[in-house]
Amino acid sequence: MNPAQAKIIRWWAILPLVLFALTCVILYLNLDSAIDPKKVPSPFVGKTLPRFQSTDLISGAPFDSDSLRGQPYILNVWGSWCPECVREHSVLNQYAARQGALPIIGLDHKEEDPADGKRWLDRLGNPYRTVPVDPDGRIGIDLGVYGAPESYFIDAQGIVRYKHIGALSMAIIDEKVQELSRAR
Amino acid sequence: MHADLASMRLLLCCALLMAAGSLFAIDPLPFKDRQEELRFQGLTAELRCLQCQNQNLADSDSTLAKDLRQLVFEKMQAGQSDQAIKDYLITRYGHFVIYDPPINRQTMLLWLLPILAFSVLIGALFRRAQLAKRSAIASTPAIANQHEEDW
Repeated sequence: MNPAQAKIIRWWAILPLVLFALTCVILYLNLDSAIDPKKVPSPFVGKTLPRFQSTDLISGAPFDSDSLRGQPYILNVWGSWCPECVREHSVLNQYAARQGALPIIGLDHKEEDPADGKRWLDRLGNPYRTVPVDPDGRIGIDLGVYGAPESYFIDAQGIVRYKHIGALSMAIIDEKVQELSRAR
Repeated sequence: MHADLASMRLLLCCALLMAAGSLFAIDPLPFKDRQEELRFQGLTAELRCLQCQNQNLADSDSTLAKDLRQLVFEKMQAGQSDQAIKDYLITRYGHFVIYDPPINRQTMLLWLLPILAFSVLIGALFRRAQLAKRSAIASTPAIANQHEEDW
């Protein structure tokens, strides 16, 4: 075997090991990254949210999402069946109590009995301007909801600027509301 | 003999009952014929459940999957095509909802990597064969044979 050929063989021999090491590094780095496969980005970001009509949980008055045009707002999807929503609720109450807070619309998603939703809001407080109901989950599907809580940050033109999956924190609300007012 | 037959019958009944159980796990939808049922099964197998990822709509027992199955069924009843139903879901949930990713900038690597890896492999094998041939011609037959053992 001549020396040149021996060199070639050695080079190919370590290639799989190098590839393996590289894969390990990439996978390790991704463990920590912000890419969470459980969080599916919404295709509505940058687009207008589909119009939806419903009735208010408390007053029973008709609700039309078109009536919200002209002002930025937060659309929060919740349900009394959702444990994560309880945790999030205190943050929403705290935010809604602030001066100059954006209105929060609370879509009561897949509530089996409206009385459950009412009781839940009585017990934990009501940060919502209106509470459109979505008992069969069809509005949710139309908006691309796949769990609760989920929140849409919508600007005055009705365009979704951000969708949050999971419980909101005050820091996220502050950051995203600021982005909304900047976009205005 | 009779006892054997009876126990066999019992066993058969049990087996059938167990099979029936798995059939009832799927929500009963009023299909008008077998063809429609097959179309439904094919379509829901291609759609991904978002709540319990890595399961398709047909397999998943989550509430969202049930609702989406109902929706797919209703849209089929309304005469919508498979593509229209898929497009409806893609506009709402993104390409994540289908198992067949489109070729675009984001997925280019996913589509090209197998082809790339395969051509690199073929290239390497070809190169190796050429080198072996060249050295076989250059060296004496005895050394060439020894060479092959090395490989």
